[in-house]
Formats: sequence, C-alpha cells, structure tokens
Amino acid sequence: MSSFVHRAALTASFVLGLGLAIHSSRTSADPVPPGPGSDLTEPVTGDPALGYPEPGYETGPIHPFDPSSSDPSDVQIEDLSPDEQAYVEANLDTSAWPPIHNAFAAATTQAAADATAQAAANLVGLDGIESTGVVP
Amino acid sequence: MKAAILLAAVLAMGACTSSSDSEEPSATVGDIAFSPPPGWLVQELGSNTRVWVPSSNPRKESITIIVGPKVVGDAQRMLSATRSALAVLHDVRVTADAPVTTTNGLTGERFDLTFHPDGATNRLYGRNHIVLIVGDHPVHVIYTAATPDPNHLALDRALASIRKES
Repeated sequence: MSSFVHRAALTASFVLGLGLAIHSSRTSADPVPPGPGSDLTEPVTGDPALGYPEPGYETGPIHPFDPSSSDPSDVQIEDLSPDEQAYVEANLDTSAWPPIHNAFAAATTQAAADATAQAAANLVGLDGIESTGVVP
Repeated sequence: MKAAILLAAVLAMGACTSSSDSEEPSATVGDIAFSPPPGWLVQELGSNTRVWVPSSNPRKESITIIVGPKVVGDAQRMLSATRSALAVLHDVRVTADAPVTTTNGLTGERFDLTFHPDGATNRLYGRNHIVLIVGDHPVHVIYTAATPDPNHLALDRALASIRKES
C-alpha cells in the first residue's frame, strides 16, 4: 500500500512537472508585439518620400509629341552620309500622310457604325435579315 | 338530265366553298398568333421565325414573321433599335417611316426601304418592315420582293391577323 501511494505520487509529480515545462516553453515562444520604443521597432531615419524629385532633378511635364531638346550626343544631319541624309529628308515630307490618316479614320468610323447596327439587330432578334426572306 | 342536275349541284357546292369561307390555318410562335396568306408555303427558320412564299412567285416575294426576344426598356427602345438595325442591309435606303396601328390594336412602326441583298448585289429589292410591340417582345413582319405588290394585299392581310393569344 505504501509503495503504491509512493509510486502514484511520483507519477503525479512527474506529469505535473512535464506540463509546467511544456507550458513555459510555449509561452516563451509566443511573439510579443513590440511596443513603441521597444528594441524591435524599426527606427525612422531620413526624409519621407514626397513623390517629386529633389531640387535640381526636376524634369517637368512630358510632351510626347514635341521634339526633344537638343542632346550633345545628337548627330547633325550634315555629318550623315549621303544615303542617310536622303533617308532622313524623305521622311521629313509628310504631305502624303493626311489621305492615309483619313482613310483609316473613315474605315474606323464605318466599322463602328456596322458594330452599332449589328448590336441593335441582335437586341431585337433581327440576326441575318440581310438574306432572310430574300427569294433569289 | 339527272346527271346534268347532279353535276350542276356539285358545281354549285364547290362555288359556295370559297377560300374566304374556309378556316384559315394559323401559326403560333410563343403566344403570338397570326394567319398567313392562303395558299402560301411556309418555311420554319428556327423557333421564332416563319417565312411564307406563294406557290407561284413571279414577284419573288415573301413574308417573314420574327418574334424577337424580350427587350428590357420601353417600346421606344425597341423601335429605335429596329431603326438602327436596318443599317446592316447593303445600300439600304429608307423611303418612308411612319407609326402604325393594326386592326387588333397593336402599335409599332413601319419602314419602307430598298436594299441589295447578299448574293444578289446587282438587283434592288423592296422591303416593308413593320415592327409591332407585343408586351415586352418586338414582332417583325417583313415583306420582301424583287417586284413588290403595289397593293400590299398579302402584307396587309398578315398584319391584320397578328394577335396576342390570351
């Protein structure tokens, strides 16, 4: 009887000790959120980003269709070979461009009108009325 | 003598049963009913479209009835969309555009136009396109002909027969 009681007490104390050890190890692994001023907060250094460049590095608004300003690395047209000069000068002539632009604009407008008409036909059930009811 | 009397009686009976007294066949698409012109042949193109052509067709005419899908919005939207849809026709020219009301009280709009059909670009066809508003559905009655009937007998008859089944 006394040996049984002794063994029971020994087992209970072992289990209790094991439980305390597990609990303490878990609580010590839980992340502790750093409070302000604690060693884990990242210090703020320098100036915050303001979205505009430093003085002296401004580039200004972008005008994509304006010619860029002269660059020291630009090659003057007089320094080009005759073939290269002829190629550059041929591309300076834009007098033939408006008819091309107008043709594309007309085609785009017609395509948009066709799409609008087809969408309206689909809405009211008139798909294929170009040939429906036509007796050849 | 008896044979002559009997023959005369048979002929008289035949004269009494004219096409106008006989029951006209009617067709139904959904809850839209209509009676095609007598003697015209029907072709079914899908569940919502019927095309009738006369058995003898020198004018190359036809009557097409299309029950369109349900359209959200008021009747004016359906009429405007129908008018816009006419632009899919090649070389279309709208010669007349007027509101219409049938004998059964259905309202809509009528477009008279000419166009060049696909596959017959060298021949001009005439078309009378009537769109009626029946509930939330547009119902299209389209008369097409290479040589249109100036009296529009078949078209008027088909138009008057369109009704919504209760």
